[in-house]
Amino acid sequence: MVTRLLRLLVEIVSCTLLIGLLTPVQADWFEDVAESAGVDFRYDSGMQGQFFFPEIMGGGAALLDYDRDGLLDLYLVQGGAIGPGIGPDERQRGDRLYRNVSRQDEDGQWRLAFEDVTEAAGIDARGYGMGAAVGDYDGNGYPDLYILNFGDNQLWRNDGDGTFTDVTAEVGVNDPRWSVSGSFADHDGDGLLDLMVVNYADYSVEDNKVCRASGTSRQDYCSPSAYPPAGDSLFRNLGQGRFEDVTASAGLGDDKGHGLGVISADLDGDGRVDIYVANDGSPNYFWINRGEGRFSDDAMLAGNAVNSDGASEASMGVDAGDYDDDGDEDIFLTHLRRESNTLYRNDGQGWFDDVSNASGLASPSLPMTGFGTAFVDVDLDGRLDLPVVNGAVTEEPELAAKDDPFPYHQPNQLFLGGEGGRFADRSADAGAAFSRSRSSRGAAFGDLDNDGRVDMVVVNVNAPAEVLLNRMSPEARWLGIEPVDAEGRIVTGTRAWLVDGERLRLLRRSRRDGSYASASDPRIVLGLGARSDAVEVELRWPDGLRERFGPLDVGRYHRLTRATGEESNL
Amino acid sequence: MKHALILPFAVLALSLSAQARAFDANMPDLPLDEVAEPVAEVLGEARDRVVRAERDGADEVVRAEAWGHLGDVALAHDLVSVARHAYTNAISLRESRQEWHYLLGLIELGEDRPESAIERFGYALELYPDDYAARVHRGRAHLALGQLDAAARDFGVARDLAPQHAAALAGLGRVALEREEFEQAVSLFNAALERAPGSNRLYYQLGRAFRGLGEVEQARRSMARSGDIEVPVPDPVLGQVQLLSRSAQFYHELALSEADRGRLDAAIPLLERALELEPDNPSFLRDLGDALARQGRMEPARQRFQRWAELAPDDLEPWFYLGQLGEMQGDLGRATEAYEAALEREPADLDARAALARISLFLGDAGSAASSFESLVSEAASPEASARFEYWLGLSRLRQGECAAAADAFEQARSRLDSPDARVLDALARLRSTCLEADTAALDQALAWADRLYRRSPGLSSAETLAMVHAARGEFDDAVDFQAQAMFEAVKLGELEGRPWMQEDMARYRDERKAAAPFADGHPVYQAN
Repeated sequence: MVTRLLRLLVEIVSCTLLIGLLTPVQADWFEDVAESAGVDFRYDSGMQGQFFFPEIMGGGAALLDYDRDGLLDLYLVQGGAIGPGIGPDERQRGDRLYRNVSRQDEDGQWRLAFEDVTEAAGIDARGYGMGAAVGDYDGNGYPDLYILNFGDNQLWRNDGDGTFTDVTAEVGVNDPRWSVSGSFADHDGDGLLDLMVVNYADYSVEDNKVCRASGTSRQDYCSPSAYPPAGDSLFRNLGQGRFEDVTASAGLGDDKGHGLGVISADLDGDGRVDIYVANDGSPNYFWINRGEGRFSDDAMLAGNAVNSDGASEASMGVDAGDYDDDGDEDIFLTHLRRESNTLYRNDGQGWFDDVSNASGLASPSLPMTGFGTAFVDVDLDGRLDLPVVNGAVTEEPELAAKDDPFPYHQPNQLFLGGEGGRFADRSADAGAAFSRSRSSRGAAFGDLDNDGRVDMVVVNVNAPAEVLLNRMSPEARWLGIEPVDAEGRIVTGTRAWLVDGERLRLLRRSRRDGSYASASDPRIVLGLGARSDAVEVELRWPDGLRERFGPLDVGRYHRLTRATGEESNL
Repeated sequence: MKHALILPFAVLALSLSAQARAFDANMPDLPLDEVAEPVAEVLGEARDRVVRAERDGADEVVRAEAWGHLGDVALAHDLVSVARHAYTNAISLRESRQEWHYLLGLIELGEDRPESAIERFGYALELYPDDYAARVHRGRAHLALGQLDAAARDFGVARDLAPQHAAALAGLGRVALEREEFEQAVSLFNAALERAPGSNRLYYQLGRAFRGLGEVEQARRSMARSGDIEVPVPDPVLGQVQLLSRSAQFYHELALSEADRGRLDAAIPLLERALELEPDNPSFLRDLGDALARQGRMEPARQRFQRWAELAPDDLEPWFYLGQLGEMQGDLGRATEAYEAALEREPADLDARAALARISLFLGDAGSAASSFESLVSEAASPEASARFEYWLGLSRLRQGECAAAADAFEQARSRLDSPDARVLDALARLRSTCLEADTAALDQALAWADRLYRRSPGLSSAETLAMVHAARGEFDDAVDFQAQAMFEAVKLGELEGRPWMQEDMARYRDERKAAAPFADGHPVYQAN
């Protein structure tokens, strides 16, 4: 009897071992390679116990190919010391520029590597940094950097020789208020990139208010309602390296929102680039471009100002994308704990409905405070997904109860797009990078190793930045597009569709803005799933020109030049 | 027959016992050191009652009531995890107390756990199917989960139980909206608004329904009226629990909610109670002072604002309030002192500067006022602010006898905004009807404005303006009619004697002449208060 039992036990153990050997070990979907790639960066909020408001709101990242070598480089914004009497002169050189020096090894695998070139590039940014925006404002083909600070902002002109020059004053785009996010876009259709700067609160460390956590009564960070809103800025690019502040004349002067996120996109399909601003605690703005340099906010009627209950939410991060593949761009916003993240579905005319519950995005987001996010097809299945990076802004009661020294951390989340406009929370499957609990803020999205899979860079408050390499779906097919003009300059705002028989599918737009305080890869990636044959795409350029290109081989990026395709009248 | 009776009870007993949770005898952590003294006191008493009941081995009913009371006190002070623990214990000892299931449902709903809330409300409704509040809240939880049919069932039952209340109707409206039955939604939201006109959050939903019908302007108008006040759910159970609160914040919020509904009589004692608990809270002082002033109780209001100013010596705001109080009392000397004190703290503050300019106008120094308002217009940061200052600039010019310059200022104010201030249109209509040489088209426009203002708010001033415009157009019968109406309103307010120009204008209309002046010398627009 004992022998039979022992044999049975041995068989069970053997079987278990065998199953273990036969089951492939699933790799993490995202792997943090920051350390091995040489990105040694930690956003320092400067916190010393006085709960200065900006400490809990920064910072951001930018992905840009500043040297045009075909690899995305990385810019990280730094906070630093904060307090009465502390300004840029009292801070160390903070922001860092990392050049992507990745190389393929002998077996064709990319070894991701970055090199800190801040000093060599001439960048000396000592503001208390919040975010970054990227755009080629002077049209020299090299992307420029606009740094959004708590205090004076900086425009770093990319001189095209690996160095940058601070041209803020001469160009006329400074905003000395508390800026968080920016968006370069050609709002007036003159071919030059204008700049929208979103500001948060009218706050000074000298007038810092004492607020307390509701659960423990300990001092905590205030909500934005403790301070008046700062008002946003719109700068019009006049050409010749000059901008003009047109906030008031454009109709944006009476701004009462605490702005945190911004996107520029033609959301109502009238051919003009609109501006959508995510406000913290007050209705969001949908600045509809009325032409001739005028905007008017019609968010309430459009249905994207407040949620379906009619309540304002604490909006932080934002992006637009066609999640339901119906040919228009929808809006996704991240929000405070106990408010759901919100998905507004566009009806194609610029009217929106809150479909957060029906999409499955509401409930899983309730325990989280969301910041950076983007509509990206991380698994290349043709459906847009939503990574969301999280982190509290007031102490988490459960963490505070455990005397956590920094009770503001939360894990990030990954929502994969599925059938019928539903998203599934797959955070638990995404690997260590999504189970780690940190106080994340900015997130920039882009293909760091040019394998078609969208990677992420995440900025964490008082913790290391993460470079998350996408390991999902290595077998999936894709097509990359870099839309450029005749001079080889990237044309953001260009929209691309896959031509699928008589139908146009998979609308994607080239953009750098969105997310939170960050700038992303402007290249377009179409996830094709298992499709391996060459495909045709239709591009619609910002000036309205529609062209078809193809057949194009899948599995690589194509630089598609305006006016070299076949004009499309469909 | 006997079996038929037994079966439902058996099902109910089985159902309830299935949800009984394990009793956890541990006392939950009470943050007695971190709450205000009165709150710590009531929490301590509730805790001691539980400790005694458990220590003495009291029967289950006594122990259940002690735990239930602790739950109530904790919930009243927003200690949600303590309340959940206490109610769960109470239910495990006495599962037939419907209120505890209901309150646990509210806790789950408040924590955004609609599935758990539905379960809890389900138990409460098994015990008392006619509970309106539980029906409405469960309907809302179903709605949050997109379960429209279940939501409609609950809201429908609730509407039949209490058709006089708005909450169920509003819920049915939401269901109709989600189903894109827009006409039905409009009808339901309007019915809800008839019952709860202060629930301005509903205007957003009503606007969405109009939008669905393609009635864009109706939608826009409705959404412009939306605010933060939710539809109330009559809730005697929660009301009883809230009465246990000893926190100042609770009284403050309750007071603001009463004030939002226009019930200042109810709000003031609540604010006074909040101040008793936190005597130096600036927000309480401000809101109590404001409520008292609105009730015309100026001296007590002044005391509150002065205390606030003492507590916040660098803050402009209390001084601004004191200035406004002075204006309301017609004590322009005191108002001036207060505004000057405000400006000492923030010299660039445009509102305080405008208030001083306004006082100059009231005191008859129209030249100085006009000069100040001209500067303010050039410094204003928004079109609304510019338009506001231009209105006062116009009045100042008019007071100086410069009708054309006044008209320029009013026209500037009008052109700045898509929806100009009613006062600006009123003033322009009067100017065109009196001191300006207005042509027919200008008078047609003036008539349209005056007519709109009168329809929106029929009263003394709008009737008087309409009379002026009709007289300027030679329509003297109409002018006499509207002037008579204006005078009747003045009689009702006891103000006719103080407005001698009304009789004079009436006489002019009867003589087929237009009015003498847009605003006579003693007109209230030139006076404080």
